[in-house]
Amino acid sequence: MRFLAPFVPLLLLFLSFLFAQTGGTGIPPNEDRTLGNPVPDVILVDSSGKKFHLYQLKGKPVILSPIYTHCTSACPIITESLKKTIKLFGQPGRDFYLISLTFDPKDTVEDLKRFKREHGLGEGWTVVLVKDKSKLFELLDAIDFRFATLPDRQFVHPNLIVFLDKDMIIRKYMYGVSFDRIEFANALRIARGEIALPEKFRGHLFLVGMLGFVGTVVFTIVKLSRIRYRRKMTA
Amino acid sequence: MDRAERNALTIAVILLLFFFTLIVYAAKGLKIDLPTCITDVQPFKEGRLIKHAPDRYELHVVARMWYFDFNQGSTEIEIPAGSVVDIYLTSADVVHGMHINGTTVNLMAIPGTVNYARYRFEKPGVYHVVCHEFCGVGHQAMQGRIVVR
Repeated sequence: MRFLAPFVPLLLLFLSFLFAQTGGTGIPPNEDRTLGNPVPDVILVDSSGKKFHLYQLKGKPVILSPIYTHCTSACPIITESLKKTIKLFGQPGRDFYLISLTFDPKDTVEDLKRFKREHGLGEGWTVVLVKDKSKLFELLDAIDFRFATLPDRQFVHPNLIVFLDKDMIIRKYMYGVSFDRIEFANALRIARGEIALPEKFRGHLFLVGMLGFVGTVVFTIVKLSRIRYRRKMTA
Repeated sequence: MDRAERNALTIAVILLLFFFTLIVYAAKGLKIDLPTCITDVQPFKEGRLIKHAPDRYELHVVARMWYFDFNQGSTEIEIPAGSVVDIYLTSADVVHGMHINGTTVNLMAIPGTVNYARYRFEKPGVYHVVCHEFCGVGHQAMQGRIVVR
């Protein structure tokens, strides 16, 4: 069994890389600071101009998709991918809530209406903006979503969706413009409170990686000095 | 290996691990945001101050020989106290540095790349911005001002 010893720290290091977050474009959110925290109760305005509190959606998991309506690249792809993926997991509005949230402070109800119409989003799928601009950033800060403004109202932003549980607690992020079914199913289960173990493990992932890194460094140093010592003795 | 040499090496490794632990503690324990180099933002040509909300700004800074372009050529900007500013920094010519005095913002301005930091300006006052990377004959005069009211 001794020959397995050097692989233990390497395995820990590998595990930390394997499960490390991937943010795609822009500045990825720092999940350590957001997972397990509630989002603020902001007033949202949907594509028909109806105002409602985010906390009115308490009771079912919420899938939050930050987008901006003038996007010509990632946001339409995210929306279309979501449309295909959610078909396998139920009806938005009945089994979970699905919200496309515009983070562009200049977006209007007309823009939401156009976005919803262009993508043919059904009744259960809500496209919203936050009524108050400062509150918009409170919500974006809660999920640590950061964007950079480009000319012509374009933005650089991370491509992601966020899963909130029935109490509006941030439970899971999924990255990319298309969504793996198995990963999506897992995320939805976490949002429903069905599996909590990976989430608990995630908080300690960095320490596991550190342990692996330090272990690898110390092991290599010890091993090298032993080899040198043996060579010296034989010489 | 000589004993003194081995001791020096051991101490160096211990110190390295100690400082690395401090960095990790600063990033994780104290929740300090480390500057981030953004690889997928096209470096901008002109400085801009964009107001998103009454307390939320985006600042695109272009460092060039020998001034900081904060907003369409202006080297001074004014924001209200309590504002959160997302600072994006690039350079139009050579490598510059940007330190906002009295804050933890300390970035490198490298041509072709964009560096990022976020800072909340809580206290009103004048925050002097200086270049801390020697960038030529006008380096000592390269500065700007952020006025927080």
